[in-house]
Amino acid sequence: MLKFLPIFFQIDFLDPIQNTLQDFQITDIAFSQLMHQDSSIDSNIVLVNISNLERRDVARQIDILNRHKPKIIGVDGFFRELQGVDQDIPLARAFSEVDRLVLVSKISNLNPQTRTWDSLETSQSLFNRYSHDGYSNFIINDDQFRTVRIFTPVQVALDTPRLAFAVEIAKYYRPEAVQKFLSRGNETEIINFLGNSERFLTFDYKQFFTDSTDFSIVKDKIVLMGYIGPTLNVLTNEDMFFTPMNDKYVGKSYPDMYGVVVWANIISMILRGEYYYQIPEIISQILTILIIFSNMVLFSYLREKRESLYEPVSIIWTFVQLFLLIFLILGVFYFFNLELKFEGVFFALFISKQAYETWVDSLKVMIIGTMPRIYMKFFGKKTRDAMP
Amino acid sequence: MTRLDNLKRYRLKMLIWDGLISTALTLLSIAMLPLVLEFKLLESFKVAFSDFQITDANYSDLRDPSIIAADENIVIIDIERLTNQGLTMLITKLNSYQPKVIGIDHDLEIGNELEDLALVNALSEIKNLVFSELLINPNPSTLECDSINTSDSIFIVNSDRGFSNLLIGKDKRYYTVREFYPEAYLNGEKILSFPVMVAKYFDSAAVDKLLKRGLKSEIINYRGNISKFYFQYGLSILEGDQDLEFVKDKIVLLGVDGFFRGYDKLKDLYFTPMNERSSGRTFPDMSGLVIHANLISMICSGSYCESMPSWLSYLIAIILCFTNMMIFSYICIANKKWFEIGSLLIFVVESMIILGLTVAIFDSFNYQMKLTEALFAIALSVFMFQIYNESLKPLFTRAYRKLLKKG
Repeated sequence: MLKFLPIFFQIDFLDPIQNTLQDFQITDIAFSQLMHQDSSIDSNIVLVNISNLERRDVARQIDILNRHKPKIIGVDGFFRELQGVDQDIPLARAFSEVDRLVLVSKISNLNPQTRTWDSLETSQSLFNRYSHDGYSNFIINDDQFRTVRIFTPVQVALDTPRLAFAVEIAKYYRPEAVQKFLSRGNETEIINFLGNSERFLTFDYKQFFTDSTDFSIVKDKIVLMGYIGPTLNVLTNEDMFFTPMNDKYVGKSYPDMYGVVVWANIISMILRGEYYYQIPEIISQILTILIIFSNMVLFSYLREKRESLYEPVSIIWTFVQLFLLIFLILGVFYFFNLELKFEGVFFALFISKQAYETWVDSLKVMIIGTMPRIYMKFFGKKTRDAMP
Repeated sequence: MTRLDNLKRYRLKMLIWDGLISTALTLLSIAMLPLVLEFKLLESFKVAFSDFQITDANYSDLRDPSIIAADENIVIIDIERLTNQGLTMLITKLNSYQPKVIGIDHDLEIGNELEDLALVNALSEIKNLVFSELLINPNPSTLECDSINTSDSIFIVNSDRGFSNLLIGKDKRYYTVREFYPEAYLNGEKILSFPVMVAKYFDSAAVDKLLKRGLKSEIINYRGNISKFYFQYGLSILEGDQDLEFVKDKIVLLGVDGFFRGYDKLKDLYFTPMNERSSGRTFPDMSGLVIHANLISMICSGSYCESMPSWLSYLIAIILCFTNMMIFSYICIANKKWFEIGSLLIFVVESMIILGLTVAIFDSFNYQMKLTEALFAIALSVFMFQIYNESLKPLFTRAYRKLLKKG
């Protein structure tokens, strides 16, 4: 038996439950099952799949699009290395002819003291001299595998405030919407997802190599170019993320959204002006304490007045509260765009009955039972001496 | 026998009855648990937790892939981007080195007539050839189906066939491939799976041993991902001048893995216990072709995993639950203030032992102990003991006394 002992130290038994639950948030249920069940599309944004095209073919795409005068073109792709004149020159020329062009950049090396970034990576100067840039980093926690729920609108990199890719694009399309958005002053914003690529006008790369496609719809629109699969919506592991729109909000499933489509959702949210609000952390904590305390009061009351009902009522009431909380969080999120951060409450509710009983039936009894002995041990002689 | 002895015997009898009743209540609660997850909104939880298995930890936390030897009997060749003409050349080249069997885990379609004819001729030269086919809507309980999907008939005419379905009755987007089905039924007739058919040509005695086990499904004892097999890209073989001597007397599997593509198409991949993240969000990690290679490797080496029968799982759950009830009763009689802490400790220790034993025994003996019911039983036993002794039993006792008085 002893040879099995090391196994207990090699395996994190709680890992499977931890992995499953920490990838999950209750509000994901709202996005996955309840929201945006209609089929409305945001016609301000046109998505263009660049697939694995060579640079000169991407240049061809841009030339075709540019003829129809889009308001702005954003390219979610890095052009770090030079690949030779036959690839780079056409692309640089195509970029130079775009009225408004935004390329992605990447911020890195966070300074923990100043909370600013020390590095900014951009495409080659040959390309980004014609463009503005917006950083493309998503906020993904280490313990949440490629799950995107929030983003940061503004970050300071190299001592200069920088806008996220989507915000930079929206700024040129509808400046007043971006102003209203930035005036919220939030460090992070919950992404109000509209949907996957079917919620936007979309062109696959192949359509740029036939004569039959009408691209006139891009006029005065935002065009977002990026990777949406080897062909449209073939799911790969490149630039793919899990989002709350996934039809399975917990556990294993395929990632559901390409990075450029996430950006499209963020732009759409800014243009629609439909944001989410979060209650301050302190209010969440106060409410948690109040809920747990009220449970303890109820348990005490039941024990004093209705002892025979204590067990079934306490268990049923715990589960009723859990379900009520889930519906409250979902309802408030869905109807009022307000996120209640009550994750701590769930765990606390789950263990509240056990904690109450452990204190009342075990620890309190032990402490009260032990106290007279300790008292008598330290103060007993004086007390006996003092007695008449 | 004194009056005290009689009292003790009576009390013990009552305790045993109390233990049996509260055990029964616990098992009833476990049976009703799945109903809670029947709400549509909670369906994702149901799928997530039904896919969870303790023994996945063996692959992710215990097994050291570097010490597991590659299976040198199996050669996997990725035939992506090969036209029928390219495939003809590849097969002709491979066949000249006399592999023991060639398995084609890919749908071949007709195209150019001349190319197709050449391919048919090349295929006819293969001594032992197996094609994969797909069962359409097989019944997960009976493994019956009434139709199959195969390559075009001109290609499969001189070959054996085996079904390649890996997850029957489950969506590959949400479930892990942990077991496979050696046999299924097509219009009442028994058919064998693709890995079984391929293994049959390599080692028929090993396949006989598998089929004699008579199990509807077998747990897959994974060797590893692509690095545990000899792996080549078909296009490279055609463009290069390689000596394919290593193919002689081996199993050659032709199919699409996507390794050389530079990215993975998710629809070609499955979740397996080899995934670096055994639960929660992750990318699928293994192609169907490599899973088949693992299956063939398992069959030929005879390294099967055994599984605890369901009746034994339930029996252990009942015994553990009843034992817990008796221990709780003893604690309550001896010193009630220790009950809360004691019951919690008992639950934690028992759970750790069950989880650790499950993983250790699977690791050492390839035996899967199915103790999920036992885990739930010991978790719920604490609550049911209290509900029974502090609520239900006094309630029934009062009601019984009232009835007696009336009577």
